Amino acid sequence: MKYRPKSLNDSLDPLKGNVNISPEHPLKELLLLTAAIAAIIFLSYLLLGFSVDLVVPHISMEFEKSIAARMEFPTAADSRAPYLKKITEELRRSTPIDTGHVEVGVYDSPVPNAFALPGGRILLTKGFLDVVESENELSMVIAHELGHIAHRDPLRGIGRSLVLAFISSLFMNTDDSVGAFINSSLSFTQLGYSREVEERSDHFALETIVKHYGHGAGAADFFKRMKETNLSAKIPEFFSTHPGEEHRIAYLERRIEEERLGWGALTPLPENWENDDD
Amino acid sequence: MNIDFIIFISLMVIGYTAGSIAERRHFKSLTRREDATLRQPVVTFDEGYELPSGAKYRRAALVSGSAVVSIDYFKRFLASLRFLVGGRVGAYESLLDRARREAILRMKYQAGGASIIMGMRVETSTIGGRRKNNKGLGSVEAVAYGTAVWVDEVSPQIT
Repeated sequence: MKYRPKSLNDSLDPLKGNVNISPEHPLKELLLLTAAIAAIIFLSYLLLGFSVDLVVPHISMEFEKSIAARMEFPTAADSRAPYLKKITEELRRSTPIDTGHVEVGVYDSPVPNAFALPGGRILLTKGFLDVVESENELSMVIAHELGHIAHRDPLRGIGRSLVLAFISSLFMNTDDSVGAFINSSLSFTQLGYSREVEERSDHFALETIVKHYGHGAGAADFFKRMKETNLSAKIPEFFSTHPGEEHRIAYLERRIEEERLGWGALTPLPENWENDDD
Repeated sequence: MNIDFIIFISLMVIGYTAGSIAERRHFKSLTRREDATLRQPVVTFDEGYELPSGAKYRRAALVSGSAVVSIDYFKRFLASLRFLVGGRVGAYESLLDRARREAILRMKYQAGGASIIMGMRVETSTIGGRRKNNKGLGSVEAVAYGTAVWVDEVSPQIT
């Protein structure tokens, strides 16, 4: 038997006839894998997020408060705080759903904003208190945060962040870049969820102040102010956690008209509405 | 756009472009050099080989060749996605193929003019793999080794 060497290579295409390499194009593989993994993650996020919604109503407010006790409540000294406390107590009597005891504090930030925290805590920024012009406007914002508390949204938020942290830590082990990629895609799905929650809270707030004042005047004032001065206006609604101001104002005014909630006189803020502690 | 994402995309593009160009060139060069060394016989068996009549062993020596090929960022990302779902890691297949063939070629060069290389084996290992922070890029090393045999008078029956 004679040994006749014969080349297995194709001189024109070096990869032709190579049985050891999958013929699939790497970019096609990348696309397919990315799509498959994104689908898996999205589904597991939805499932886990859904289970958070199932569990939250079964968690008592006491337990939520005990979780919150370990979290910081960064309040600043402000002479308007007693008034805020008083008005929050009054508003609580008009809410459609009971919120339980609520603590309200002032947060030292020049940006007009308000937050609901786990454990029935509300923070209003100094920036917000400085620009607010009527009690109705102030009440609307407090009632909006009361809405979050009544619906247990801060607790849901913790649950969802846990789910996020869990999923991303699963993938972080595999590879840093994969984890980063997954994180950025997850925060998108988080946004859609938040907007729904904000709308529910707006609705809750409107009901509350209509019951409290007997009319809906001033309900949209804060959003109008935000729209005028707005920095966030440049962010398209899709990318934002809150519905666009335009959208919210239209929603509130439409409800006031349709349900004949009426427009009344605005209740003024107390005299000397400036912070004396500065 | 966050900066991490931009860095990630650039690394992917660099990895893919540079990686593909290097790979295509390497395959071309492998093909050319393999065809050029076609007349250097290499076999995997090490016994049962009969010398042609009248031939005499002159010398035998261990010959080896090794090659290290690095993965690129793109391949690594593709492979790590693959690790989540399983299946053939196409991104690494070409890498191993290149390393193995390069190693065999280098072994042939070391044997330089031997009548035959017998009992050839190829082994593969990874080097410089993951560091603790998971940022290390791995490389693959292939080693090919065998016994080069020089025979006097008659060359093995190669036409």
